[in-house]
Amino acid sequence: MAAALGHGQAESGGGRGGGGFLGPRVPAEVEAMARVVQDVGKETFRRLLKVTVNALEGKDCRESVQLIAESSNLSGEQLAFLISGMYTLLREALRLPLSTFKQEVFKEDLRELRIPEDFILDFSSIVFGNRRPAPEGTALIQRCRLPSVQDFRWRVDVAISTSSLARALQPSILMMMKLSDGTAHRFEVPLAKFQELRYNIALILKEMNDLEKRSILKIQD
Amino acid sequence: MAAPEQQQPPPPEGSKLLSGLLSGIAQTTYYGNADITEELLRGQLYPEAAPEEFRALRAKMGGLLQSIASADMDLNQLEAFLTAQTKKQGGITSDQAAVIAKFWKNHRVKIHESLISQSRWDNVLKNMNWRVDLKSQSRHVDQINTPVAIVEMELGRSGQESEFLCLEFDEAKVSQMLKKLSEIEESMTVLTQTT
Repeated sequence: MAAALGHGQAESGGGRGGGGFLGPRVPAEVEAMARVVQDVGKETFRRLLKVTVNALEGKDCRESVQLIAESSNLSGEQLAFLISGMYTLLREALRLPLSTFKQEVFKEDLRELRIPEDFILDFSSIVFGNRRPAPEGTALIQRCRLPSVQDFRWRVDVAISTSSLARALQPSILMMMKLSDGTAHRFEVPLAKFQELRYNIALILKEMNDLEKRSILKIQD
Repeated sequence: MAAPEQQQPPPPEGSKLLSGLLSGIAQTTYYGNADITEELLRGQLYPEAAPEEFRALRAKMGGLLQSIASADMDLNQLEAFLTAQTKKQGGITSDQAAVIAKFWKNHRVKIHESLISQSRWDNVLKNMNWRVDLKSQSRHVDQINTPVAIVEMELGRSGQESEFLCLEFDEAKVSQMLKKLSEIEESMTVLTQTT
């Protein structure tokens, strides 16, 4: 299966001008999904679609995925391709404003990917119908944001002596930041840089306050 | 060790040469400049001196500088140390002591900084840039008119490429951060008062 996928990838994407609403290059996982989905039954597809929509709305879907894995004859790899491809496809489609993005265009783009017509109708009903996921879902909001600091810890160390300095007595600050994207960063801040950091953060706060005051005072038409 | 270079009193330019030598030693040992080799120094400063002679001089001066730098000597300590060296057998002349003292006065802070940074092995905060954005258009109406700070922090180790961390802060988070930084400041004030 994997070999067929690898071989097939070279063929598609050549003749047409990209993935339409998916941008100039169709994401790899969507292409992979389009291939695997050919062999998926309607029932299984609809269950996967439900899981994907739940994921987009920020709900925990591990159990549902587990159930599908057990009851269908799809391999772990196929399942991964399917879900990640469907997720990316829907996420991209849902980003576009309904005022300019038309259903026919969406369907046409999916036909280019050779997704079965039945499934195209199902996808369409999610994006354009009343089953459209609520925009408060985390997946859709967090796309336009950078990571933020979730946890911030610090420690002041004083180097008493080092291999090159018999008498150091230099305080230094160690910071540990955990970000919203799951990464953690540890770094040292020399004294002078610390003062600069503190000054800048205070300045940022002042700027933000000023900005807010200005926008409140703006005359509303 | 019979020090051949002390058979004649060093000419006045000797001070300049010694100063040059000390600078050269500092370049390799403390400022990480690998281009200043022993050969280069000898050729530039003491071309008539024999290689072993020069090596001995360089070693002696280097050793003195190391003692001074390691202890981060203040002027009193320095004077005491150098005076002791002039009285030693095979030590230094008072002219040389004067040159060393002047050199240390000028380079102390920089050399000390360099030694401190040599014992920093983690990533260090090198720089930070920021801007404050105001969302004017958004899919979600409640996000409009709320300011957002974008902060870019440069983290790196010496000699390695930096990593750039891009973060987003809303007003509450900036306020929280400032509070924590103030706590750090307080903690350090207490520390420096008691030492």
